[in-house]
Amino acid sequence: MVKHSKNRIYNFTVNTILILIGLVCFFPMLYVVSVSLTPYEEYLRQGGIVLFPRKITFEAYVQFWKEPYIMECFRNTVFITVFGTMSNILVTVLMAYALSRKNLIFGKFFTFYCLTPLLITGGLVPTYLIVRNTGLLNSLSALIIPSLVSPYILLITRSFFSSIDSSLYESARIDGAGEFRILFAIILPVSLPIIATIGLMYGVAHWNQYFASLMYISDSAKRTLQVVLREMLNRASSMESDVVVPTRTLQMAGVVVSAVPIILVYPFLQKHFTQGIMLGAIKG
Amino acid sequence: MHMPLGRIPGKSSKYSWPNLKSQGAFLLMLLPGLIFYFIYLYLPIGAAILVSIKDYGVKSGIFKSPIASPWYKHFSFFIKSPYFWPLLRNTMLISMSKMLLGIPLAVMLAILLNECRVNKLKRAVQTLTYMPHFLSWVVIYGMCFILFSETNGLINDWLRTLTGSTVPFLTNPAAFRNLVIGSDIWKSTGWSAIIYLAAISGIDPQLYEAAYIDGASRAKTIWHITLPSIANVIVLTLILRCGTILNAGFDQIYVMYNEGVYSTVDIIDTWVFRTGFENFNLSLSSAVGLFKSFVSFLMIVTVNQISRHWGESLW
Amino acid sequence: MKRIVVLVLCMLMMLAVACSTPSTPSPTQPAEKPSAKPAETAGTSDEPIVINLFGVPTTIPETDPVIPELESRLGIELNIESTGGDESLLVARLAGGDIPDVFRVTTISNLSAYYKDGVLLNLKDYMDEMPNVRDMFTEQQWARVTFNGGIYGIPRRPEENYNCWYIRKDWLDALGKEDPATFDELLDIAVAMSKADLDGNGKNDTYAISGTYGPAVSTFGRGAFEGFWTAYGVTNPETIMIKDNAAVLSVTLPEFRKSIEEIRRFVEAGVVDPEIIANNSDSLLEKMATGKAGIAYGAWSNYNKIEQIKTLTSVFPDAEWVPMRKQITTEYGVSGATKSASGNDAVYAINADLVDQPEKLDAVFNMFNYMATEEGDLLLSFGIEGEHYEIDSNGTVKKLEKMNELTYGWGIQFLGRPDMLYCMTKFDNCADVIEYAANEVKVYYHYGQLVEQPEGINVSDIESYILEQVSQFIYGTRSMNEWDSFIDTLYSAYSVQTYVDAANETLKELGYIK
Repeated sequence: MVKHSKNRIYNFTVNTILILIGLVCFFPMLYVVSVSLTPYEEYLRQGGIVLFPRKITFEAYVQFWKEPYIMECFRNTVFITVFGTMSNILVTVLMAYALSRKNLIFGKFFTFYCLTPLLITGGLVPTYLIVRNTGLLNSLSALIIPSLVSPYILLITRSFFSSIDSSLYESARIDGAGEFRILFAIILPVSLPIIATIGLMYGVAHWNQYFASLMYISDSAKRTLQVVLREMLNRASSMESDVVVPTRTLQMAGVVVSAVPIILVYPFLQKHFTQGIMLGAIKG
Repeated sequence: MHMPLGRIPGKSSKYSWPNLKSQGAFLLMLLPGLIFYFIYLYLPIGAAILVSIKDYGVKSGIFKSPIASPWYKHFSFFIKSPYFWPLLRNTMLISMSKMLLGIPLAVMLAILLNECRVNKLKRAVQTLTYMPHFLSWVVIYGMCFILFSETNGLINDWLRTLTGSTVPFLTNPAAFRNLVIGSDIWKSTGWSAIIYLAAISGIDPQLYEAAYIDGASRAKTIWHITLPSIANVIVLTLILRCGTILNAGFDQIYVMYNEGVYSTVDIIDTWVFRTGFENFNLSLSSAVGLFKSFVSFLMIVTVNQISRHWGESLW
Repeated sequence: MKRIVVLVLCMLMMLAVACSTPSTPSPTQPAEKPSAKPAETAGTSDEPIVINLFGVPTTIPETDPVIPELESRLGIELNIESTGGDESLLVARLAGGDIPDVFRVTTISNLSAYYKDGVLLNLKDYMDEMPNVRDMFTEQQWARVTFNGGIYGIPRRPEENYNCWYIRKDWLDALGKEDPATFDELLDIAVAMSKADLDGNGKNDTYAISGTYGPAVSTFGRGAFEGFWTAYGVTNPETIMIKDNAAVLSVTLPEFRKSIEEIRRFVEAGVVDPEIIANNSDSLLEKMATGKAGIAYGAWSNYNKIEQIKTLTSVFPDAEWVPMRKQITTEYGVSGATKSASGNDAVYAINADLVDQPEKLDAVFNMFNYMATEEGDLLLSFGIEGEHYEIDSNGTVKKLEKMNELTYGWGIQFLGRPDMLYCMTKFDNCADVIEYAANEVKVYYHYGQLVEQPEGINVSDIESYILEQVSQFIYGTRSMNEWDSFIDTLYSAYSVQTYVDAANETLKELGYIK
């Protein structure tokens, strides 16, 4: 009985804290959506504080949809996110698996090799030169291949693989399975949480990437959504007399349009973060 | 979470035939990545080192540009700037605070989510906390203005009514640094919690059941099961963050800062940006980049050495 | 089975990487633009010559009719790449050896760097091939792009002054006051505006004077204290100005100190927005619209265009933001506007390698020359006759409804535009303000943009330090008693004298100093 009520207090505390945290994030997001739906004049009249739109207009969205090449940019972003993430996961998982095995020869050297680029990066122009000399300029593959593996994500994946119970490997080895077979038939099925995590990280990075597109793509129709958004947000500080400065409502509409698709991906991946049971079941 | 009995069966056969077959498979797995690393990550590093000791000229390019005299000219230009020490201090302070506050908060959020037994609430909070990651800093600064402005901000409005005085959040150097750190934590905690959530979901549920049978309270299992199980991931992210200790968030600060708060939030990257803006100085920015790498390297080696005590090491 | 699939995938990845490596395009023929090739090999065939034009500062929409019209009139094909004005993209492009035929260089000091590197074509011997361009610019404008006797860029016509002090006319009327002519009168009005709760929200939250703060180049068109500085005959603190036929750093002048003391008077009276340094264009516009400010400094192009008037009157339908029609005078000068003598910094330069392609070079000169004719100028400034504009019987340009769609027009005005005519036509609703700002507001020029950074000096450190310290003096976080020691630090720790000496030398060469 005592334990039961204790548990209830515990649950109550956890839930209350979570609700508070949720609200701290919820109100600003609600604010962004509400402002994007409010007529700009109404927004000003409220002194910028609009939590629930009293009048609704889709004017800002219509306006954002008129930005040059917006449809193409949207398509490009989806394309590089889908194909980029798929190749990212494939190459990263292969590397991380090999690096995580303790009997890999020159293991220390390979780890160091993969770690160093985390500390030093070549910077803008040298990287541009390489991208150019590998013939990728002005093609969407320039947004996929030069970011094929992120050292940070690789090391995290490696760490996950090496924390998997080694008896799994050994039993497979005794069955005579090759390394590829062990990876794909045994390790991957119990690694769904980490695959979902790195998939999300890579996917979001692709979706949000902006600089590579600006640097390597010269054709306006091959750019990505974030370039359009940044260009629009920066226009506010333009000094040219012609420029129509985007209003706060237009800015918010741009943010909503460019964030909602990737936010919607999350709930689909979410279930993998709560499926630890699988790993345990196999171990047992 | 390391492997106490990992190598016993394979140890004696490291170079035997089945092992060679495995090594071949490993190399095949590594190959695409290694090639990628070499071309897209290592070649530019080499180029950057060359550029940093040369007087880079656009047409002569990396190889034909003359070596700077002295070769460390661009390094000393940075180090001799009256701003060098303040920049280093600001960068370190902001970056450290973001790290030392950000990682524990993200771990706590992940644990709280894991402890939550109301599935709908759990999912809702998880999604909500992850969303700020997608707002650009321009928009966040706009919201900061609405909350913290001294003339028409919501908070100062309340303060004015309640106490009759206002707080200059946006122009006071100390207050502004807190705003920079706070807004970054708000934006990124939910996102960074994902990795710890993934780690927690890998914990064997039988461990918890066994603990409950032994009469452990749920709060106790956090301390005795959850935290130790994800300690390796926490330490790993900590080490990796130390590798980027001199990146205090250029995107954010460049959008948010103003002349009044240079003394606390002007960081190395914003300085390079301002200095390179007039004269596009590739050599200077490469030199500063190498300086940052050098510091990162020291940091990561030190931290890695320390973390060996907990049995977690990068190499 | 799975294993085979994986192997195939791996091989494919490797192939993709490996194959792309050796196919290095030769530096002169960019592989990524197959469309550029016909022109180079075409010789005398009918194929239009393709000109690569790099660095246009805005995205040109797919619906743009102006560039296609230009192409068809000249029989060329323009391959335009926009960069949003980001110079690093040009640097990367040049470093890669894919030098565009024509490119936009954002500052004169960058132009000089490219010149030293031999990237730029010397236009001196070709001036006769584009006589209209030659005649379009003054000698001083050409001097800006002249290095060692050679001409390395095509200047841009500067814009008129747009800036002056703005005031809420309806508030001024409500207080029964007139435009101020002295700082005492201005202070009087500002205090009345701050105290009178004219926005009627019952709160004491109005600071009469607002604006933005920052380097002269980035606050241009907004700003806050320019009106104070110019009234004391000085320009923005971090800028080089000419005084008694010598270059000086504005902040080091005794008049500058006096202007700060004047501003202090206003700050102490509690009529200056305490967060001018944190304001940006959005927050300032919101403050102006919501009755938090009654006096601001800035450009008509930020406050007087139709959509802005709509914004500024959305909360207070009677709000009337108008220029102050009187200038504030002190014994040192009259309030006005500050402006960089380099005008609009960006210039277009031509690839030196084009000498090997005489046909293309001819086409480039022909293009610029056409842009400098009246016909070409009309096209790039106003669009297509009959569609975007028409010419009435008096020969004046009349705006048609569709001209408003050319919001990216400034990006394709490669030689600038006849600014007065342009603004008066395109923004006909605020013609009187445009005329007032251009003709009656005194302009104080600053010259820092023309001066190259001397070896070992970091000009941006100097500028940052000055702006930071001046903001502290303005808001009283540093006492005016310490002003002299601040100036001393500038000379001792920041080597300001070297910078000023370099400025004197350059400005003498350019003929600004006799």
